[in-house]
Amino acid sequence: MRPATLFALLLLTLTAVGLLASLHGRQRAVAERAGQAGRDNLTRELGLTDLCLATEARYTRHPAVTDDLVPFMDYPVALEHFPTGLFWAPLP
Amino acid sequence: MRIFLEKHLNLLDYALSSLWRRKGKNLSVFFVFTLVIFLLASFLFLTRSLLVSAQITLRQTPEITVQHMVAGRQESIPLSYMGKIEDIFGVHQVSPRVWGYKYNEVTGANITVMGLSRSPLLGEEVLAEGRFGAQGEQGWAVIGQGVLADLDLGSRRSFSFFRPDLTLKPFSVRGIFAPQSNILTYDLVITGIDDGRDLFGLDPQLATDLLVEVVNPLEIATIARKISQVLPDTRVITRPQILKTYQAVFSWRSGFAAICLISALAAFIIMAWDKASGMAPEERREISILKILGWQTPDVLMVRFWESLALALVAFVSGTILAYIHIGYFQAGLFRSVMMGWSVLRPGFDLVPVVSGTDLFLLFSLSILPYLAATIIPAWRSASVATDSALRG
Amino acid sequence: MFVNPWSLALCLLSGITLFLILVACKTAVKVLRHWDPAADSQRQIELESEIWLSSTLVQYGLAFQIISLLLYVLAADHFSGMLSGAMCATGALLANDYGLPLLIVKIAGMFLYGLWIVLHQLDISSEKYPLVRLKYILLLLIAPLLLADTALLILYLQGLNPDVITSCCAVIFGEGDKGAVQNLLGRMGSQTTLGFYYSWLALLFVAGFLAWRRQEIILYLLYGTAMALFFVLALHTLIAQLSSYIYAMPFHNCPFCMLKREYGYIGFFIYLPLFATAFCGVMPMLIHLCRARGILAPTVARLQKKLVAVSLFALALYAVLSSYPYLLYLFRGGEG
Repeated sequence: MRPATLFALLLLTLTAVGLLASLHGRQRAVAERAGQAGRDNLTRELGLTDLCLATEARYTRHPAVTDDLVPFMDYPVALEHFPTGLFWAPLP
Repeated sequence: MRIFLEKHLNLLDYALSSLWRRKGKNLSVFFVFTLVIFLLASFLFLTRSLLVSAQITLRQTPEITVQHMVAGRQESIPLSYMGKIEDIFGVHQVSPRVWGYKYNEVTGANITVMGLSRSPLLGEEVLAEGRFGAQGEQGWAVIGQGVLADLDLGSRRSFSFFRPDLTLKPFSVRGIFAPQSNILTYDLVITGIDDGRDLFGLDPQLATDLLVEVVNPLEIATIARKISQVLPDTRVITRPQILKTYQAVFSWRSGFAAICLISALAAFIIMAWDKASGMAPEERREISILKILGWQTPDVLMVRFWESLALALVAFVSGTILAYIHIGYFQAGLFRSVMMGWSVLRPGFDLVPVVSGTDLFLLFSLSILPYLAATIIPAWRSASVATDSALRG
Repeated sequence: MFVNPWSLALCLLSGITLFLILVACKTAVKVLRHWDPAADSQRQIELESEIWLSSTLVQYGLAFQIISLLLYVLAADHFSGMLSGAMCATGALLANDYGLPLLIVKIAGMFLYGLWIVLHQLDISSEKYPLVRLKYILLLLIAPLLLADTALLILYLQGLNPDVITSCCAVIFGEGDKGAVQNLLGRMGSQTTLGFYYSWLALLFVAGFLAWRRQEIILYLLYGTAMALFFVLALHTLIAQLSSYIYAMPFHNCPFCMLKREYGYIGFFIYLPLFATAFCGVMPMLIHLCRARGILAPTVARLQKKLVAVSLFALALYAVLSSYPYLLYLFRGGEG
C-alpha cells in the first residue's frame, strides 16, 4: 500500500471518530433540549435572568443585571479579586 | 490534469515516507502541536457550548427588568414606580420582586434568595418533589439541589436564615427543583415576596426590581425607551440586552484564553521553525541527490509543503477530537476550576459540546495557517543547498 | 475589541501575511535592481533561487488574504451578536466607518492577488522568466494595499465597542419609518433593475461566446469591461433584489446572512461562481498585454481561451444559482 493511501485511511478514521463523537453529542443535545420546555417556564415564571455558573460573587452569579461598577464597589479603592471576575469582567 | 494529480500524489508519498523516516523529530512537533490545538479548541468549544446553552436557556428571560439607581448603585425600587410603568401603552403586567444573596458562613456558599409577588404558574414537572407555596401562604420555600446539599438538610424540610438583626427567619421547604434545571436553579431559594422582605429587612413599599411583561415582543425596545424617559433614575434591561451581554462576556472570556494560548502557539511556531531549519548532513545529501536526479526547487518546496500539511492536518483532527472529548465527557475538567473560581456551589449540569463549522474554520486559521507560514522559509533554505558542497562534504 | 478570538485570528493572519509579503518585497527590490538574465554571476544565480522563495511566500500570503476575507465576514457575523442593535453582519460592518472600506479593500485585493498568481504562472511557464520585472512591480504595488488592509483592520477593531448601538440590517436596507430610502446601494424600481440585470447577463453571454470563438483583443476588451460592470451590478441586484427571495422576507436584504447555515450556506454557492466568473472574465483582457512578449504569445492565447471558457461556465452557474430562489418564488410562492 502506498503511503498516501495509509495517510488517507488515518485521516478518514480520525474524522470518523470525530463524526461519531459529534453524533453522540447531538443525541445528548436532543435529550438535553427535552427539558427545555420546563426551563422556559421557569425562566418566564420566576423571571430568572442568569445562568447559575459561578456563585462565588454577586456579579459573577448575575452578570446580566449587575452594572460595571459592582466588582469595585465594596470600598473606594477595592480591587476586583475573584478568580471568575477575570473571565466575567464587565464589558470593556 | 491526470499528470498533475499523479505528480502530487507521488510528492505526497515521498513527503509521508520522509516524515516517517524522521519519526523522532516529527513526533515531538506533532505532540506539541496537538496539545496547542487541544487547548485552543477546548476553550472555543467550551465557550460555544456555554453560549448556546445561555441563548437557549434564557430565551424566556424577562422582557424588561427595571432597577432603581441611586448614586450609581442599584438600590431598592419604590413600588410607586409600578403605576407609572403600567400607564405606558403596550405594557401587559408589572410585577415586583425581592431578591438578594445569603452567605452561608458555615460552608462559605452564596445562596440566591428570591421573593416572588405572585405564585408561579408552574406544573410539578419542574420540581423533583413538592409544590410551590400558594398565594398568601407564609414561610414557604422552594429550593435548588445545591441549597439542599449546602444546608445539609437530608430529610429535614425546614431551615432558617438570619435576618439583618440576627434574629432567625424560619422557612419550611415545600418543594425542591428538579436536577434538569440545575443550570438555572442550583443555588436558588424561591419564596413569597413578603417573606423575602422580612428576611432582608426591606420596607414594604420597596422591591429589588420590577419585571415588565409587554404585549408585543417586537416593542420591547420602544417600551424600554419610554420607561427610561418616564423614570430617568432607573436602569432598564431588556431581554436582547441580556443575551448580548452573555455573548460579549463569553467572547471576552475565550478571547482572553486565546491571548494566553497565542503565546503557546508562538512558542510552538518557533520550535517548528527551529526543527525545520536544523538540517542534518544526510538531509542535505538527500536533497542534493534529488536535485541531481532532476528535481527542481519548487518540487522540493512542494514536498515540504505536503509534509507540513499532513502533519498539521493529523494534529488538527486529533486535537479537535481530544478537545471534544474533554468538553463532552470530562466536563472541561481542566478549565472548570478557572471558570467557577471560588464558588462553593458548583452546579453539576451537563455540558453538551456544540461544534460549528465556523469555529473549526477559526481554529484552522489560528493554528494551521501560522504553522504552514512558519515552515516556508526553512523549507526554501533546505531546497536551495548548494549541490556540490553538500555532496563533497 | 481585540480580546476576542475572531479579532485575534484576523490580526494574526494580517500580521503573518504582512511578514511574508515584506520578505518577498525585499527580493522584489533586489530583482528590480540587479536582475540580468544574460549574466552568469553568483548574484544572478542567488537571485534565481530567491525568486522561488519569494513567489512561494507571495502565494501563501495571497491565499491567506483570501481566507481572511471569509474570516472577516464570519467574524462580523459573530460580532453582531454583541453589538446592541446589530442583527447580522451588515450591522457589525456598519458599526464604524472602517468596516465597509475594509471589506472593499479585501475584495479588491483578491482580484489583484489573483492577477499576481496568474502572472506568476505565466512567467514560470517560460524558462526565461519574461515577466519577472512586471511581477515584482505589481508586488510592490500590492504591499501598500496590504498595509492599508492591516491599518483598516486595526482601526475597525479599535472602534468596535460592544456598547455602540448600530442599526440592524432591517433598517439599513429596508425603508425606514420616515419613508426615506435607506439602502446600502441606493434603490431602483424592482422590475426595471431585474430587467436590466437579466438583459445585461444575456449580452454578457453573447460577448463571452464570441470572445471564446474568435479570440480577438477587441472582444476580450468588450467582455472584460462588461464583466467588470456586471460584477458591480450583480452585487447590487443580489443585495437589493434577489436576497429578499433567498430569505423569503421583503425587507431582509443582507448580503451576508445567506452564508449562514439557516439558509443552507447558499451564499457560498452564489458568491463563489460570481467571483470566479468576474475574475476569469477580466483576466483575458489584462494578460493580453503580455502577448507582446513574443515567446509567451501561444501560452497567453491558450490561457485566455481557457479563462473565458471557465468564466462563461461560472457565469451560467451563477445565473442559475442566484435566480433559483427568485424562480422558486415566482412558480411556487407566486404572486398570482
